[in-house]
Amino acid sequence: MVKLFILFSYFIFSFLFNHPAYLLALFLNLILLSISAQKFRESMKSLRYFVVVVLILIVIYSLLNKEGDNVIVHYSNVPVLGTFRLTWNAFVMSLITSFQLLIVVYSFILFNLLIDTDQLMQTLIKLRLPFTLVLLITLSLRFFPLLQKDLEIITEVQKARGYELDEGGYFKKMRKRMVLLLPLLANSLERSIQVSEALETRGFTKSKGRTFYSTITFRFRDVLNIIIVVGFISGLIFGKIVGLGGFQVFPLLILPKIAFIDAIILPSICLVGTIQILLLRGGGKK
Amino acid sequence: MISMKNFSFQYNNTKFPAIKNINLEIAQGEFILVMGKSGCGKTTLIRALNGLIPHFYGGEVEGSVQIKDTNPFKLGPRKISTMVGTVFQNSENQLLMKNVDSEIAFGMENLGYAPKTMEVQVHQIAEQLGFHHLLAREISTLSGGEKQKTAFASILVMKPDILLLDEPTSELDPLAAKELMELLRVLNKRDNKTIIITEHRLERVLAYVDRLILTKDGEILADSDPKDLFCSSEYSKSFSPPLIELFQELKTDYPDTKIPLNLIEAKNSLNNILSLLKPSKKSDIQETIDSKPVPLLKLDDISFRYPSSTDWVLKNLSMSIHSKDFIAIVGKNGSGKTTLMKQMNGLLRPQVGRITYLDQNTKNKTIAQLSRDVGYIFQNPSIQFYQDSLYDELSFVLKNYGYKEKERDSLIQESLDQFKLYQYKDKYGRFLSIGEQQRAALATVLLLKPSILVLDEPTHGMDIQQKIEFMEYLNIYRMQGNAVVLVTHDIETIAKYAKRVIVLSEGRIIDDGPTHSVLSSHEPFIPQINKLVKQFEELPNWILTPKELLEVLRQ
Repeated sequence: MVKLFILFSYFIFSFLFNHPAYLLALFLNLILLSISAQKFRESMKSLRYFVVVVLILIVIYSLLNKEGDNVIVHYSNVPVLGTFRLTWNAFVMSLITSFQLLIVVYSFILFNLLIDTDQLMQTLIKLRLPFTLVLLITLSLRFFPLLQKDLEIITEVQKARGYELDEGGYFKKMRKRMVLLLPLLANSLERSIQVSEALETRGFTKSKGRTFYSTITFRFRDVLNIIIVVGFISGLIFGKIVGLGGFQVFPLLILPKIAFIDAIILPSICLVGTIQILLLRGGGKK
Repeated sequence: MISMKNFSFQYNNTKFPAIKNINLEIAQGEFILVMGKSGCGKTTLIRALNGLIPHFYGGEVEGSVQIKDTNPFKLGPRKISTMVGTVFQNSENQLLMKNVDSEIAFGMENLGYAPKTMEVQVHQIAEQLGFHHLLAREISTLSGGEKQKTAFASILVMKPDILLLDEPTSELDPLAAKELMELLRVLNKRDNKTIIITEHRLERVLAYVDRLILTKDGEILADSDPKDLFCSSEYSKSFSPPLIELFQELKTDYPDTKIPLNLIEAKNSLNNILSLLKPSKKSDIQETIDSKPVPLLKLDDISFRYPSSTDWVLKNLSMSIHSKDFIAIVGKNGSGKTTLMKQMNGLLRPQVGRITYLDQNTKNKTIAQLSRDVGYIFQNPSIQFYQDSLYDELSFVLKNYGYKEKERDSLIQESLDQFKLYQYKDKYGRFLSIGEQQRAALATVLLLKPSILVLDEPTHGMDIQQKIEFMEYLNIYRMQGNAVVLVTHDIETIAKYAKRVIVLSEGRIIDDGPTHSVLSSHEPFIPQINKLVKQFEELPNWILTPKELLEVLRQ
């Protein structure tokens, strides 16, 4: 549960600030978190694909955005395109946006790797959501892989019947894949009936009086950690209001400087991250 | 324990009652098998006992049901769940949680047990069923047998007096099925649980039950001790597993013969008969293999692993398939059988080694091209249907291969006639019975006249009549010079039909040869009759089926 909070705080953080040094500090914290959970390799594997997306994003953004005064190149009469104008401002902006996105995606990846559905369910119960809703969420998470397997089999079936799924352009492919949808749906319907049969015969009702096999227990360190997270977020919001951690890109690019106050805050961000991780470790359950 | 009086039930939107005039008295501690053809109302009967009728399935109820002197219709699911536990056919779809331990605890949570008690109970049940090592595992990583065990444990932990199991062994290999039945016997004898199961593979369960209920068209046709039932009812003959089939036949020659339910009784009965006969000479089997078989598909030293894993599923495996082959591939759950089958039509491609069809490497052929030569029938036939009617389903395949409308029409007519499906041509595939669905799958695949037919567990869920019918179709196809390869746990069926058997273990072929020599020598795959025959010196030890034994005895 604490993990959930921490990741969430990073998520907000990445939107608040666009100062590269701040973002870097944040990213380092996330990496630390993944290393401490021994998921660094796995997380990097998933991130690999995203890097490609980021590169494309940078190119497109810098080409399309013509704002800004710090010009790199400027041609006024290019055929077809009209004016071609590449500015430092757009390039830097694209870099920063990508970096922000990278952090968001990375926290999602870590969310997937670090938090398992049972824990999530227990957290949701702790937050006093109705159990029926929680069960719905967990069931859909539980059956998602099965759905994938179904889809795989259905694809194989159609391929074995001589249906060329990977032929033609993008839209043709999409249309061809519709063939898979109906059996998938029929199968899921059948499955949902069976699941509800199983629920019913195992005494599941909406009425109260249900107990829970494993619940999350809060230890002192967890409470402390949550307090730190809350403090961290409010501190950051305050900092944002005061005007820290931002820098000007448009219309005139002013290269970010690391002021005295930043020099104090940056290490402290890393420090907070490290403390959080230390609190999480040590046999902690959640 | 259970009492049903004049019970009838009709689902909403149907014309006929699914079960009618059911009168049943079941005492505590009985072990009952409900049998009947597919669609005879077995599952409905189970639903009436566990409260799904009428709590879950609306419909019209007549008559009364009493469980432990209470009317289950007036109780909520919570109360019923402590009296009656149900294990459904498909174990995958009744597991709801992520981990094994939370799955087992789920029922107790619903009943409001204290967390401490639950923990103790979970560990106790795991100890009892011998899978303590699985408790922390994720359900998605379990094998079929382990999933079945988890589903069973999660029911058992709620301590119901009555256990209902709907075709519990259908997804299990012979060994796992035996383990499950042994466990049920213990629960029945030691804990005095009332157990009611349905099953098509009688050879797996008959030795364990002490009462048989035979249903036909929603009514109870016979209800008695298993022996009496197989002696008296002519209708029961269409369900007889091999051992009983043998003695039903022998009874016509020797009227005093007792019908045995297990091997020991069978040995005694056969002993009596053999003492009347002069010990026949040991005759040798002549397993005729076509003198000049044409090699069709060759797998040459292939190895395969899934991209996401480092474990090799198939290891240095070589085999060839010839025309007129009828090959059965057997092996435990997880030995790589399905993976091997998928190599044959290119659904999966080996990383090492090569596969040739008529001496041409199949590497560069698409699945669609290969499917003209190698037809593939998947385990669950219903998953393939997506057109509104059977006719369109067949037409779809021909369209994929560019057939013109005229050609299509005549080919489809011919095929529907051949598989006796013409009357269903406008029906949606999923609404057909399992036997009809499998026939439809066969029709679809054979439209293209492939020379090899590959089938994954084709007899799954079929009753004996449906099996015989289906296997005969395969035989006809084979006699036309084609090859049949199938993967199955259904030993008794392949003992009758297969000409060659391959035993797969952990991705390797450990035996490959004529059916008689292979099946009679690999332990969990030995057919019942063969086990019986081996107890007698004077009988040839290659015999696998009742027919073969009868021939020898009647010489």
